[in-house]
Amino acid sequence: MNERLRNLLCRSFDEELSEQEQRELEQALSFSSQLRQEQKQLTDMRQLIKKESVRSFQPFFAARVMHRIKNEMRESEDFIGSLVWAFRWIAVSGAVAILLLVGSHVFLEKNYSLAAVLGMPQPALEDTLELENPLLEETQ
Amino acid sequence: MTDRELIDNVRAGDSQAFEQLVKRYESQVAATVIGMLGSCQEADDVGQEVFIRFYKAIHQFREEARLGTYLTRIAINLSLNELKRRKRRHLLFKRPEKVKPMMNPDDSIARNEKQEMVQEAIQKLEPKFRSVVVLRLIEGYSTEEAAKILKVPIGTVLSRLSRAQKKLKEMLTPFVQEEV
Repeated sequence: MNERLRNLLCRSFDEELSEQEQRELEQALSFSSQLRQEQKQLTDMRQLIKKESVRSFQPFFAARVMHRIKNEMRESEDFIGSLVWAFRWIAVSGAVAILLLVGSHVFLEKNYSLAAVLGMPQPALEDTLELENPLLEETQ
Repeated sequence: MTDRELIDNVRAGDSQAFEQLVKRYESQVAATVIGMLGSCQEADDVGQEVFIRFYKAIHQFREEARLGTYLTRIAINLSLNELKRRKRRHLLFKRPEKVKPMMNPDDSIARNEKQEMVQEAIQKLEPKFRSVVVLRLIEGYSTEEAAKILKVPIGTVLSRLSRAQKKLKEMLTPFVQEEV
């Protein structure tokens, strides 16, 4: 049988042939019993594959899926729960450390200003005046 | 209830709605996964994974794609991953891969034999040919839809289908003639 016709026949199942190709195929089918037999074999094979395909999992598949989802959600909640627990302790420890640091600055400086709380250096009055008048030194 | 209503209920926290979706689409996912992997325990695991992935992504699911197509896409991708894993295991352990069929006790023996023959024939195809056979011949997607799911050109789907059919015909012709 003509390989080209065989290919045309095969293609006709899955794509739209052009008008010329369609006519050529129909003409060939009308003349060739071999090609008609080939067409029937392909049709029957495709039907067999569709008909004999397995379309179900083992019983209680949906129940198994739901069971797995519940387990995974529980594991993820446990994981998040333990993360929250760990971070809670870290947050509390951090807050205590900051309070102790701020308290020590205030205690040592005996000053409640923002700079004292933040532990920033406290310049003397003379130093501040020098900084504010840099031109004074240059003219002198 | 429509898929959309069930999905909205799942998003609102209704787990029974999700179970309904699983039951609704089990056969479609089974046909895809079992078509790709054969009837085996891994197919069941992969099938479960399809729905679990959908559950985790349900808030991001946009209804432009039909749910069936969306699930089929996940099923094909996970099946192809499983086939790659099988190939690596086969290379590592030098064991011939035998897929043991899980028989359904309700079916007659004759039907099981036919199913086994068809499954065996499809399993002998390379994964890239198997996927087009599953999508086009088993699931009934058009060549355009199959090309979109597999993310390959339509021409590629057509040429793979053509080659796959030739191989399947060689293996299944005796069965086909028996049916006649």
